[in-house]
Amino acid sequence: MPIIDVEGLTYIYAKGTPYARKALNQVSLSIDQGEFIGVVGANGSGKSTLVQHFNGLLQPTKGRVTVCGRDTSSKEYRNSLWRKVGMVFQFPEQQLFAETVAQDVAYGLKNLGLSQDEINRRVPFALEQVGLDPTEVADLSPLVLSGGMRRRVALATVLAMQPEILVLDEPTAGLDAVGREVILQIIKDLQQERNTTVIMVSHSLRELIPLVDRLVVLNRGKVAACGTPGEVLGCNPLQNLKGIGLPDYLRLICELKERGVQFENPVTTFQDAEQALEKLIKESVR
Amino acid sequence: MKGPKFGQYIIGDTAVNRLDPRTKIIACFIIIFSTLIIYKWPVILVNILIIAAAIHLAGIQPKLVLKSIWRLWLLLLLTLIFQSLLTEGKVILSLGSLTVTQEGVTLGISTILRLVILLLTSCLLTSTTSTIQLAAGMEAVFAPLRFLKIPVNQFSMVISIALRFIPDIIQEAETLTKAQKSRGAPLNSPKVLERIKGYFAVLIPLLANSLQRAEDLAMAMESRCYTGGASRSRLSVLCFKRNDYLVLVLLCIMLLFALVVR
Repeated sequence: MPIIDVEGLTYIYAKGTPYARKALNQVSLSIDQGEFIGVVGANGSGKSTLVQHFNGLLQPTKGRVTVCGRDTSSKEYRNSLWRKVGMVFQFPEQQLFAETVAQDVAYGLKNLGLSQDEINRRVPFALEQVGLDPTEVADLSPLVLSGGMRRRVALATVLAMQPEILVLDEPTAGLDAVGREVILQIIKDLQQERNTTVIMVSHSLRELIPLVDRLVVLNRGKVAACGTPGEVLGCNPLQNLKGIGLPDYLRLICELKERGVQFENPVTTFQDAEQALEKLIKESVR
Repeated sequence: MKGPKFGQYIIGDTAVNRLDPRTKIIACFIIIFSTLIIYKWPVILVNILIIAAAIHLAGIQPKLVLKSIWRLWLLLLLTLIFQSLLTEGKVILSLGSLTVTQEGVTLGISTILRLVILLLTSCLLTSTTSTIQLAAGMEAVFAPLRFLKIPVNQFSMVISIALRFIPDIIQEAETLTKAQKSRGAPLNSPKVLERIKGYFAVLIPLLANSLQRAEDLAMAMESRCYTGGASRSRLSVLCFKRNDYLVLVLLCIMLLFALVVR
């Protein structure tokens, strides 16, 4: 049974007013336990709106969202979903508020009602998980840390709660290359070691392709494509993904395909492209 | 987001929208002034007529207007009750030691109407005038205060910046509320104290981010060589048109009428 099931989900902002705007239109989708799902789409395609349904922050205007087997139409259930579904918002470092890093990480744990012993165990663990040294940062104010480190602290505040499902909204936006790598590695490890279901929203196909099991492509509130990276890129690559910006290497492959070059294997990752091009060059030399 | 409210600026091209902001500000002053100092029925009725006409011309749905009045029902009801009970005059109903007087009821109704006039006037101004226009209008209307050494330009800049950032801050507060809810902040808790504590987690980062934003804005303005002062020119110069004169003349007549009635 899928852990998240979305059926005919439509969401309208400011319904019944002159400002009404349809953010999602008849979206259906199901996500299995332990899957890593990437959600891509242009600005305003409804990515953030979609994922906010997963932890009960939004209620469908029409349609149904089921999380862990229960319908989120019940208000009581929606208000308790934060215990199961961890949500990392865009620029999460802006939500830090406590005096020290440790207190901020402990905030969610206190709300969960955990014992002080358990909290004392989990806080340093979560900080280590995101690559920070607990003895060094735990008693600092979040404000003195660099942007990249604050982002990691914010991630730790959610990871410490050990959610069954982790939703991340553009977790790497505005980070440098190293910061991006670190964050992505943490997320991937979490999914593989703890079998956490991960849903990650991103602009960048390039960073999602090597990570995800399946990609969901949103376009103007509708699912434009859904499947493994190979399926999504293989089926109808350019038309569907125009608003998103393919990585350079995929653009090159597409250009070549358009000019009549045949590739035996589907090309999704950078390594695939490297191999395919190498082969192509060797063949043409011969 | 709970849909638009009356008083929120709506982009439009109606006769009221097109009026010069100075006209609208002065007109509001006249209406508010006459409502505040004069209790007479004719003045109240004329003011209501003027506002009704303006609302109609601005193309605002009556439903929105009624909703915004309805939001004040408690205040209005209490006004009516206290005015009826506490005014001396001809007794029309007595409940033990409490007496309702005819004068009281009349005064209560007129006070309600006057409160409604004040509410609608200001809402009408802000819903038909963009913040930029509003600030420009304020600056022009208060320009004479410069002679009293009051830095009118700076005040107008402060006001327009404040107005400009309100929607941003509201949006940020919404995002922060969602983020803290996702960490289990007890914002829906039945215990009031818990709820207040929960909102600290929203307010502190909101304040911190606003200060940061203010600092960034100051830096951005400085790096574009902003210096306040009267010598600053505007992109769009205000200018009175025929309708503006018409409105001002009408309202001056109304004001004279009000003063005479008094």
